[in-house]
Amino acid sequence: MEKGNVLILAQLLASMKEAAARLATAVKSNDAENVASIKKEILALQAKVGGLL
Amino acid sequence: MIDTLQKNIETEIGMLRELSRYSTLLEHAPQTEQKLLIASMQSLQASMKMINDSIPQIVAAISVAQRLPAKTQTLPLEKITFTRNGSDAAVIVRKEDREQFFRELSITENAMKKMQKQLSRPKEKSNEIKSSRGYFKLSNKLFIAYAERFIKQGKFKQLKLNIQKANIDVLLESYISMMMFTSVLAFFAGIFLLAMLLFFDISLSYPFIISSKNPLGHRTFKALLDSACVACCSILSRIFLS
Repeated sequence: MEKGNVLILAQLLASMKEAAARLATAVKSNDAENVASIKKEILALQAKVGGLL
Repeated sequence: MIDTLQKNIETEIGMLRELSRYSTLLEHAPQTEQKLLIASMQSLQASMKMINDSIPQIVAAISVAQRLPAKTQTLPLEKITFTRNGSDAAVIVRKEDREQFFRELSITENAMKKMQKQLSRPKEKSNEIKSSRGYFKLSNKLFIAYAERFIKQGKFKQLKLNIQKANIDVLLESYISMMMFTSVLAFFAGIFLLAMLLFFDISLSYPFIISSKNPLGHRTFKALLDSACVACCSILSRIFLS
C-alpha cells in the first residue's frame, strides 16, 4: 500500500469514528432523521475505505 | 450495536497504524525481512477489509425504532476476540469471513514472530559494526575505487577466501579500502612520530617532553633506531602470534 493511501485511509477512518460518535448521540436522543443521515455518511465513508483497501 | 461499530473502527485504525509502521520499516529492511513485512502488510490489509465489509450490516442494525420481539433476527455477523500486541481486541466480522479472518491473523502473527527472531539475532553483531561505521564509511568513500580496480585486476583472491572462512560480515571491497585507509593513516602517523622524535626528547620525569639539544645527525639516527625497534617488535609479535 502506498504512503499516500495510508494518509487518506487515516483521514477517512477518523471521520468514520467521529460520525459513529455522532450516531451514538443521535440514537440516544431518538433523532431519526439525523440517525438516517449519519448512517448514510458512515456507509459512504465505508465504501471509500473499501475502495482503497 | 454502536459500541460494536466503534470497536470495529478503532481496530481498523490500530491496524492502519501498524500498516504505516511496517511500510516505514520496509524502506530500510533487508531482503529477508522485506518478504515477511510484505506478507504481514497484505494480511493486515485483508483483515482490515473484512472488518470494513461488516460495517454496512452493523449500521443497518442500528435504529431508533424498537423492533418487535417476534421480528428479532440474528444478524449474519460473528464476534471474534483475539490478542494483538499483548492486548485483547474484539471485532465483528461477517460469518463467511470468519475463517479467512483467522487465517490472515495467523499469517501476520507468524510473520511477526519470524521477524522478531531475525531482529533479535544480529543485534550483538550490529553493535560492533556501528562502532566502526564512521571509519568504515570514510575508508569506503576514499578508497573504494582503488579497491575495485585491484579486485578487477585479480588481486586479493586469497584474502577473499580468508574473509569468507573467518565469517567476517564485510565486503571484500570495503575490507581492502579499510586496509588502504589504515596504511595511509599509519604513514602520516609515522611521519608525525618521526618529527616528534627528531625535535623532542621524551622522558618519564616531568615535563615529559623537552626539545632535544643533541645534533640533528645524532637525533635522526636515534629516531631511525627507535623506528627500527618498533618495526622489529611488531614483526616478532606477528611471528609469535601466528
